[in-house]
Amino acid sequence: MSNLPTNANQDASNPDKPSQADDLTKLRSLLIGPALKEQFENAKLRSEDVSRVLPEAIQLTLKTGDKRVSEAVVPTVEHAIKSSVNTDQNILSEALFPIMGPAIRKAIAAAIQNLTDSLNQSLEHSLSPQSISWRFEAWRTGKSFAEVLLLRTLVYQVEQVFLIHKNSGLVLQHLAAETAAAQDADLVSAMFTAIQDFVRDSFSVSDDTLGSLQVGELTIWVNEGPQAIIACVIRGNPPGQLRQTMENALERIHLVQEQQLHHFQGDSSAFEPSQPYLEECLQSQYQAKKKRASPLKWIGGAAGILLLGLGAWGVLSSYERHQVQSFVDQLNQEAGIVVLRTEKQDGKYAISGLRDPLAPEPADLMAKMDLEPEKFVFYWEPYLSFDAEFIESRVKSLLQPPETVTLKVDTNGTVQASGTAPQAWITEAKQLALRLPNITQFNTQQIVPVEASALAGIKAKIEAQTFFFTQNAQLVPQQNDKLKTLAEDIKQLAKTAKTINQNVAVLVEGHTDRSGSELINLYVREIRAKAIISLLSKQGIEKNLLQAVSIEPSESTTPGLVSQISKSNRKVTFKVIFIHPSDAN
Amino acid sequence: MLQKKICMVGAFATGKTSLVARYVQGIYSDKYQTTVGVKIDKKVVTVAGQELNLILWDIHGEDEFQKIRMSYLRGSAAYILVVDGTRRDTLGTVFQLQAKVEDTIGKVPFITIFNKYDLSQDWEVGEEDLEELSQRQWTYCMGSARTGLGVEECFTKLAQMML
Repeated sequence: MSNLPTNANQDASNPDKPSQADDLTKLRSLLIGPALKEQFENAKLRSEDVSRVLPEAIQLTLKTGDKRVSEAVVPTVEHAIKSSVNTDQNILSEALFPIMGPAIRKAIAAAIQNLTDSLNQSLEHSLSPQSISWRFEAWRTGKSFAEVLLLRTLVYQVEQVFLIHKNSGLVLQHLAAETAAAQDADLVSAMFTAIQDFVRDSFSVSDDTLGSLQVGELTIWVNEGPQAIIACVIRGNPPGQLRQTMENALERIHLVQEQQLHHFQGDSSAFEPSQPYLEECLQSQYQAKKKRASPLKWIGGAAGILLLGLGAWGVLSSYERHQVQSFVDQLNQEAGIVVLRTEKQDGKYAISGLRDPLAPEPADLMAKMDLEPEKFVFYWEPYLSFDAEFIESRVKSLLQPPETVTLKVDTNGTVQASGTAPQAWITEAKQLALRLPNITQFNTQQIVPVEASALAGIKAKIEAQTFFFTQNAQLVPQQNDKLKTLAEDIKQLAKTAKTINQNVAVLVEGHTDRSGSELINLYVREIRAKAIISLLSKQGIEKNLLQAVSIEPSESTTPGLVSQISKSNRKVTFKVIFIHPSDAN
Repeated sequence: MLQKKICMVGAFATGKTSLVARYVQGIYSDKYQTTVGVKIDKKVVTVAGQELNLILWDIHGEDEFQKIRMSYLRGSAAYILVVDGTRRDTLGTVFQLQAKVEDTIGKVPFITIFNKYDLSQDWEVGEEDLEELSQRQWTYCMGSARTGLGVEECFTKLAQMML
């Protein structure tokens, strides 16, 4: 449409061309020739031409206020959106997600404002001492009464925040408050996703997510985005504002980390930039709590009570306040105690917080500081402190180690045991220790079973025994007491070995001198050993524990001492051997 | 450390839970499996110097009373099919399950474990079954939850397939 006519006009209007007939021929060929025909008949060429001017043309019609184009495209756009939704809902919902949140919040905020207003009115006439003090606070801080009421009745802490990959249930980031006892985040995150799926499948709610879970004092709030989920584990009654903080965090994370969310392959380190947003869910709640516990509140509250003149009970001397504050500070410094809130209740100081059962008694501290116990009430929630000292005493109180054992817990949660202890205790302690939180290993390399050291003692005692014989293989008389002692020792040996599953045997070694023929000597040696075995078995020793051995005399005999050596060699000695279970045969 | 979601599927009582029990860290009791239908444990393996944190979804075995919840498979980076080598019919179940799993989550690496390899006198899986697996180009290995034989190797092999 653009090129051809323009070229034709230029040529026709040029007076310098030599011949008019030439021009006419040219014009004719242009008008009825193949080029113009091609231009009109070829759809592709025509589309190309139109596309060059279409944007400008639309802008022009909009400028002139012509609504026909807008009206014409409405059905097309409607149809396009419809088919986009039909093909894949996610594309459109992902595109709209960042703007829908704020829009919906605005609408909800307006609705809540209405609710607060009506709550204000309905509370207008209620009159309790508490409501009067709240009313005073509202006047002092410039907040509405309903706002103060809501704030004062809320006590909560966000203990953990999970950022979870929606599709796989893998944890992208996890934050826990310092005082919270957190379980393995990987497992909790996956199990949580499984429960979500379970609820969804069980109650046929295909697209909705489980918005909150409540178990006793714990509430779990869940906000779901297209790619990720934020779940907050909250103790107490969370305010609605937290939902907004969570939603904000989720939107920001989707905006900033969209690429990483789309291409997540299991590397959670890519989500470290999300931490500040998640921290907002944790930290803002901390500030609220601190503010509540600050001394300003006390001064402000006392001033309010004074001004209202509600009772003489409210008059606090600055000395007392100082005392209470330093007591609270002192409590907070103790390991295993976290004071969360201090307030005056019916003339007493109500101190509430978390306390490990192993932490020192607040009453003892109170006595030290010369405070009157009747002025205080404590509300402690039990919790487990992971202070090294507590872990160690928890380990000790569970395992009850004998005095001969020293237990140490290192920073990795490994229990190092050293010293000596009964085998039964070692086996049991090894199993028990790992059940405690934060204990990962029980190291027994430094510990010796009592039975093992006892065995060594008995072994030495038995091996020190010698029984002498006359030349005729008769036992030298008056060795009966020795025999009894030996029998007791062997019984003790067998009994102790059994407790630690140790196989044991006693070799009864018969000796002779070198005089006479070796054949006879061998016979005599055996006779001597067997004589002792027979005597021992009469004392109640099992025969299979004993084994006769013949010991040949050594070569080195000093001349001149022959008769003495001969005499001392007519004997039976003992050797205790420990048999490894696999060599038992 | 990279994290990967792994599902374990198989017929009822093929030993999926015992197979992982001695190799993993977990905080949930077996009760979850029969109630929620899944129990989650984790296992850290090192392959080619890379540490992998495998989050194992041990899904309740399929039987006549309970079907596997396919939604638990979503987002898995790989899966493990467990066959009881002493019950040949569990191999058939695995063939059906594999097709369903692939329908649900698409093509991702997987490995077949023939469990209870220690019970050689009751062994029912034959040469022709293994031949069929090879034809399907499935990776498989033998293992015994009771003796621990082969289990660690199976996990390592699967981890290698994922990297």
